[in-house]
Amino acid sequence: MELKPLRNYKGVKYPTLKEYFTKKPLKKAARAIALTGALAALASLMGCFSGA
Amino acid sequence: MEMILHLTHDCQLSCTYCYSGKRREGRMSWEVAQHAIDLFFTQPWSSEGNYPEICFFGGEPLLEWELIKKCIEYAESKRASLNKQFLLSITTNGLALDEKKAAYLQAKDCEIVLSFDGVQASQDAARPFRNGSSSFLETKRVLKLLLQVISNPTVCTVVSPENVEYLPASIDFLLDEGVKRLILNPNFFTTWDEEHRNLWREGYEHAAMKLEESYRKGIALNIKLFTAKIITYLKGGYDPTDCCMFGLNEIAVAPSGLIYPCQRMVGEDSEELGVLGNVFDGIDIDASNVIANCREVTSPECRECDISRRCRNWCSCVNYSLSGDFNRPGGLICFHEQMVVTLADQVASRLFKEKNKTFMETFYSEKHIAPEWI
Repeated sequence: MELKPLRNYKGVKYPTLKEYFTKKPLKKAARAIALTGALAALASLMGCFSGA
Repeated sequence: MEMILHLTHDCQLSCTYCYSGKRREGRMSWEVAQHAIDLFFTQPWSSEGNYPEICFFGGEPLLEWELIKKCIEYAESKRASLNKQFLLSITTNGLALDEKKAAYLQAKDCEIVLSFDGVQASQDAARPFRNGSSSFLETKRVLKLLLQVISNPTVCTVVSPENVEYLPASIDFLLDEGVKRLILNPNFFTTWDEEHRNLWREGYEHAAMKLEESYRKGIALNIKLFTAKIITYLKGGYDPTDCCMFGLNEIAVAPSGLIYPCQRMVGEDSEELGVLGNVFDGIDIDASNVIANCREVTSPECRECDISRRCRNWCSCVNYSLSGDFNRPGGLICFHEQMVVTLADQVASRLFKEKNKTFMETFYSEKHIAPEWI
């Protein structure tokens, strides 16, 4: 049998450990930012109501 | 670093794929064993998680039970005086194993690897007694004993053209018996025609399916062939310490005391190829330099291949047997490694997508991945 290199292999659909553990905190941060934004919006909405 | 001690050439079996030589009378003396262990403790020492290992091998090492005990006790005394941790393992057909010996090895933290090819048809095709009779029932008894005495024995199943048709049945049988650590060890030292390569693929597809099924049942099954490929992707390829590095991370000591770069090269211990030195004078620098040139893979095809860092193209003795060149793998390696990587990635991709709890805990833990998984 001959040597046949595998090219353009796209069989991997899971992250490396580095990707997994570096992306995770980013996701957490993104969630935190989104949550802060949502709370700010809620607070401003509540302010509107309380001011009304 | 792993030092493999070929305690004897003798064995009760006559396996079709045996590479340990036909010489039956050669056994290691205590003098050779003691010098080998002394040499082991002079080698560069690795840290926690990857301790150096003494592996008892043969022939059938349990035929030299008293020598094994003497070696373990001597190595333990060296550990105490030098404060160096090490691992122990034994690869055995198990036929001389009883409860007392199993308990002793367990107490000494010696990993027991049982060579067992699975269902009776498979075992009979490849691992008969020397008189031709079946070793299946005896080996099955040993497996049951090991499952009772030690928590998680490793079974090594050789996959060879003569038994590959039984591979799916053998995997089912071993998993049903309770095996959770399975090494599928392909025999590259023979000819695989197309029909047998197709059976090989079917067998591996079945093994991959059983692996996936296990994780869905919450069992972290270790079929090393696949788990190693998942781990090599997770960490970006084989590390140098994962590979035998042909005489660097692994050396094999023959009963005569000669040192070879790989256990497969001990054979008849006829000094034809690759002797690195002997246990009395140590490793010869010139021989070691010659062997060092055999380690680097030089095939242009490998450089162009997307999975070269996850490929076992570093196994110099398999390369030599397939291509006649230590630095160049044969096409059978391409066939095998591409098949295994593809199947492993299919399983891992699906389990990751599902965020399978057992899979995530096993492979995406921030804890160190134990070396036995690769």
